[in-house]
Amino acid sequence: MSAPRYRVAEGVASTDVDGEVTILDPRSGLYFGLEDVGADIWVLLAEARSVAEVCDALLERYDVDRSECAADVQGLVDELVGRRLVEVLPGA
Amino acid sequence: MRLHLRDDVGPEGWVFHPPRAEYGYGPARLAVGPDAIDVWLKPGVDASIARLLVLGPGLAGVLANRVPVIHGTTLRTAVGDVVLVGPSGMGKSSFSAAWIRRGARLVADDIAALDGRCVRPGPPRLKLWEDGIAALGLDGAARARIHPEHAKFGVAVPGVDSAAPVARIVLIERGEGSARVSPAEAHGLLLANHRLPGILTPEAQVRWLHAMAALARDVPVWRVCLPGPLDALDGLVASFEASG
Repeated sequence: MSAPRYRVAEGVASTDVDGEVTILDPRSGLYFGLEDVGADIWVLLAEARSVAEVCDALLERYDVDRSECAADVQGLVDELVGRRLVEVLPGA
Repeated sequence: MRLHLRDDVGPEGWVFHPPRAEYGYGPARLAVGPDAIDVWLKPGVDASIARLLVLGPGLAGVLANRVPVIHGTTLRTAVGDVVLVGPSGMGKSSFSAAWIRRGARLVADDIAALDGRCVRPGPPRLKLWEDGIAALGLDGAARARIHPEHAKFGVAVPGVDSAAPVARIVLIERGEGSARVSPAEAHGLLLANHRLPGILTPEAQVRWLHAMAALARDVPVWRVCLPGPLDALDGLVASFEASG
């Protein structure tokens, strides 16, 4: 079974102003903010991707160790899933 | 849109049901939903209190589910249309009056209903306290008391007939100094300014998010600290106009 993929949850809205992403969860009316690499990860999650696929894209832009990247991406994704801003799509 | 005048005040007091926003002032209460304004009045209450609630937060709340509405006063100035934003009591009206005294015209007081980048013109009346009217030299203007227990008046001022793009947004605070804020910071500050976030439908929330992002990207946003005394406002307006 392949790794799970992640995608921005349905109904969640976001906008980008000068590289800072503001996320709105209309179900709760709460806003969340992401900047820098966090904002990049959010934009990548507009399409369903695994953590490894997100890291592939980030490693083209940032000079960072892959295992460190994977741990950081997984940490952020888990937090976004916990807040119901990102949904998990089971691996095939 | 429906307006209900209610008399079902139970012994437990006023009862409201979400997702409506609630407003009250002594003997009157108001609940605002996406399609309805409900008003409860105790017997004998002055009708002007109900009018103030319905025409202020009531209509602003209903309007907010149709178009993005900023809690602010808009003026047509020498530097274009300027929206003055800030919490109640922070000095929006006094700052507006000082600017009008220097030739600006009122686009809309307290409610900036957006049509793209333009604020829709409202009635040419500005709400001012009596000391503000005197200090700003508007004693001769036609006025009507807007509340039976407070010396706050609706003052007739020069208005406009047509909408124009917003040229600048000014976030009013207390203290000293002025500075332009970054678009990203401006977006957060504008989002936080919504008067009745609790009543917005999901669609209206998303519209509000994108409308404020578009303004933050396209319109310069300034944080301006107002001096305390009203007589210092003239100088502040002059320096602000000179800053371009």
